[in-house]
Amino acid sequence: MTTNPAAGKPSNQTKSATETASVAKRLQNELMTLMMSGTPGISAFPDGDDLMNWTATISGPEGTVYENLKYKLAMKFPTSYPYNAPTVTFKTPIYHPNVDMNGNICLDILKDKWSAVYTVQTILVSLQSLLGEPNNNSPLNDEAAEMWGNPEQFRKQVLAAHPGNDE
Amino acid sequence: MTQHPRKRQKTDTDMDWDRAVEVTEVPVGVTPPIYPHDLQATAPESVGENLFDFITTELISIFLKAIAMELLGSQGAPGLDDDWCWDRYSHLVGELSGLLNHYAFGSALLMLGTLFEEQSRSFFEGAVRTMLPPCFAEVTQRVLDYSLEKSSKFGSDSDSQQARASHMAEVRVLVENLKNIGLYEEARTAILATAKKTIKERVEECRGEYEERHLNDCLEWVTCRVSDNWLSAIDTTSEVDASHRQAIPTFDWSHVLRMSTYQGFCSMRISEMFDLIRDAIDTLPAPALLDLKDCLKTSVQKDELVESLKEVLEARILHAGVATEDIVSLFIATENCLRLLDPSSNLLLRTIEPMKQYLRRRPDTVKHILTRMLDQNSELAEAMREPDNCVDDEDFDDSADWNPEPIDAVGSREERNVDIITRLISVFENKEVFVNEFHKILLESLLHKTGYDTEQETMELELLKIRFGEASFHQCEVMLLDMAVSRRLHKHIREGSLAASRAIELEPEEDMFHVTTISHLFWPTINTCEFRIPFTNISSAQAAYAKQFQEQKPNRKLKWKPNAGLVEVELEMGDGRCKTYTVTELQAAVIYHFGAESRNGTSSIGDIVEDLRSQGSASDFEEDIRDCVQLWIGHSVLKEVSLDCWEVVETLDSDASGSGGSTSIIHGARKSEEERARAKEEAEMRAKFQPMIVALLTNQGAQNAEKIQSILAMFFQFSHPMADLQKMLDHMVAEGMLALAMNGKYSVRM
Repeated sequence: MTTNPAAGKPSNQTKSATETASVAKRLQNELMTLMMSGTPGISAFPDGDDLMNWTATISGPEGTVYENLKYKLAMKFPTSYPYNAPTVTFKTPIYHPNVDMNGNICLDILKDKWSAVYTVQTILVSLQSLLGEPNNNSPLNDEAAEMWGNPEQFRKQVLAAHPGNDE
Repeated sequence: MTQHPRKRQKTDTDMDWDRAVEVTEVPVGVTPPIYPHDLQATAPESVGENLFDFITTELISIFLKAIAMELLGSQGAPGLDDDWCWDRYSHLVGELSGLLNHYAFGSALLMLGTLFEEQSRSFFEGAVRTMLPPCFAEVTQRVLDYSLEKSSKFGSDSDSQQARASHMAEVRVLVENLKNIGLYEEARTAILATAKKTIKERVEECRGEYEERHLNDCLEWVTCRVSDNWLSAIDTTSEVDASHRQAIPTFDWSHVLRMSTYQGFCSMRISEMFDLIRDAIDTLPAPALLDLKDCLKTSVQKDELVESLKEVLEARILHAGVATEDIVSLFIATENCLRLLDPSSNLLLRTIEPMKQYLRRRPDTVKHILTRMLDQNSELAEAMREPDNCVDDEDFDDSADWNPEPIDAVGSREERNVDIITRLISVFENKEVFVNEFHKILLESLLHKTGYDTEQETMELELLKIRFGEASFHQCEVMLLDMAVSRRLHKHIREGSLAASRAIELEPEEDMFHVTTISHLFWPTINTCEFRIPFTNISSAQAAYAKQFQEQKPNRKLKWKPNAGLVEVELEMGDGRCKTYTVTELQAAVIYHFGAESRNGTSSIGDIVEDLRSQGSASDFEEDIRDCVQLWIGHSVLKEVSLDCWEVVETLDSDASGSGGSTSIIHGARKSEEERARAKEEAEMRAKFQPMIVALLTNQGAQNAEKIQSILAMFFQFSHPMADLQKMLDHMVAEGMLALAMNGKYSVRM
């Protein structure tokens, strides 16, 4: 559990309270939209009654080495959301060029390319496509980046890293 | 000391008597009569205590005879007719009386004092009373019944009158004798019982007779037959009173009989109150009710009425087997009847509550009440036309016909004074349910109109406004306004198309095509069913109308509501049958499908669905089609030739005849639609919450139903009861989306 830097600032507490309310509203709407859209292969839901922390699940796209595998992610929303990107990490260990062993993700839209128009849904769709099309130019996992050209071996590594679909 | 042996003696005699009863049957006829002369002959020799003992023994012996007779009589032994009983009884009582006279006289002679005569009479009476058999009252009553019956049978000719006089003399002697031996009380009780029995029989004759008033007839009959004809002849209380040594309280026979008549009549009518109310559905049995009102004087009787009516209503109408319509009818009838009985409505309020409670539970009560209110031929029509003119309390207090509150008053005076309409409305807590229901009724009637005439609906709305207030019907007013606008628009567009010189093409269609443009926000949800309209002329007319509409109202969007309207279909069959049906659009489309030449009058479910399905058709479209086919089968237009394959019945068998009018068609169709609407609602709820449940369980792991409910409530305002959620979860488990673990937790199937 890492501390949220925005929430930790004691100076503007009242401001953050109103912010939290508006963030909650935005997240509530996003949750509703996500449910209604029913995009296949992605889903997310808040942890308990805490709207600022979600758990998401994405399935590996068909035709990729991640086919038939499910990955869980943790999404942590800052109080400045949607002006700042949420912190997204893989909870399920994954063998992927742009994901390190701790689950940290290297994806431009989650870093410098973040925009307030992105939503949980777009993030998850982007991550899903990242599985099939890794950015091998800026790898976090060099070994995986190198192995990408060899799908059979890569698939073995992926399966070895994945704990299986059993909860 | 003297008390003790007396007491013992008494017990002894009682026992003797008991034993005697068992053995006396045989010796009745042969027991030699004991004459007072015998008694007199022996009496002087044993004065004092002995005499008493002796007399007591004699008394027992005489009474045994009476008892024996009674026993034989009550067992209904053959050959023992009432006549004989009467003679025997009169004779025995006569003997007893004579015995007393002689005894008293003898004692007086012996003791030379009238004072002693008094004492001996007292002793005698005491002895008689002590040994009075328990069945004495019964025997006496039986004998008197006989006498009363006999007295009423005499004709008017001189012989009969003479016979009557002699019989009445006998009766008088008997009663005198009974009085003499101190059994006046018993005699009176028996006389009263006889009179009551006769009254009851007379009153029973009026059962089921509601057309005329019978109470006064009964009273007159009782006065004439019982009081004047019989009772006056035998009871001479007033004369005796003066001379008799005991002050007997005056007994007003005519008053007592009057009261008994009232009471008997009242009980009889109360017992048939339910029948009265049932009759009141058609016409109020006012004469019978007014009779009852005159009788219903005591609160005990009112309680009896309330309790018995509540009981019978509960047992006969407040259960699932009775149609709501009938319960409402009875509700109104009960109100009318009890209102007549008790203008203060106190009885009504005490009775009607269970009915109200029960009606509240029925889902279609509102509809029935409202339909009845609006029905110009119903009993409520008149009451609907005027507002509830509930009497103002203060004015009422000042008026001359002020009455105190009933002692058992229920509710406030205002509550009791409301009229039938307000009472019906009061079945429900709020008036809103009626407004909503009218909204729906209005929808039906407006949609089923082949024209734009809303005079009837406007009038109904005005009627309801009187009761429910102007403000409640805002939406309904918009609906009526929409109709007027539609009429104008229709006219306008038709004129427009005429002007566009397309008149020849469109004119014949104008008659068969009416459009109602509705402001959908103000109308209840209309059940629609998307399908392809097979009539090309209709769809082209629709398109033409839409185009014109767009020109007329450029800033409005026209959206068709398929299957909301009605179609008049004329079918001509192979055998020359020609019939017109008013059906829903889809029903018309289905039969049109069969009429298409290429089909040769036969089609299967798949063909129909394929032919009529459009993009927006619901998933249960096939079900809709099946319903439509069923309707036509019901009208002997179609028949099933093989599974899910139907054929047009061109030639009707003589024995199979078409049934049902066009009204029942729509009714049946609507009903199944209602059911489907409920299923649809459930499906909608599932469609809405299913992805949320799946998302929740996917990401947060297995949860039990309670947790799921609380989370759904927190994030998605899920307000359905637990049962609904449980049903939904069960459904999802059945469909294989979820798995239910042993610990009651649901999880997503991977």
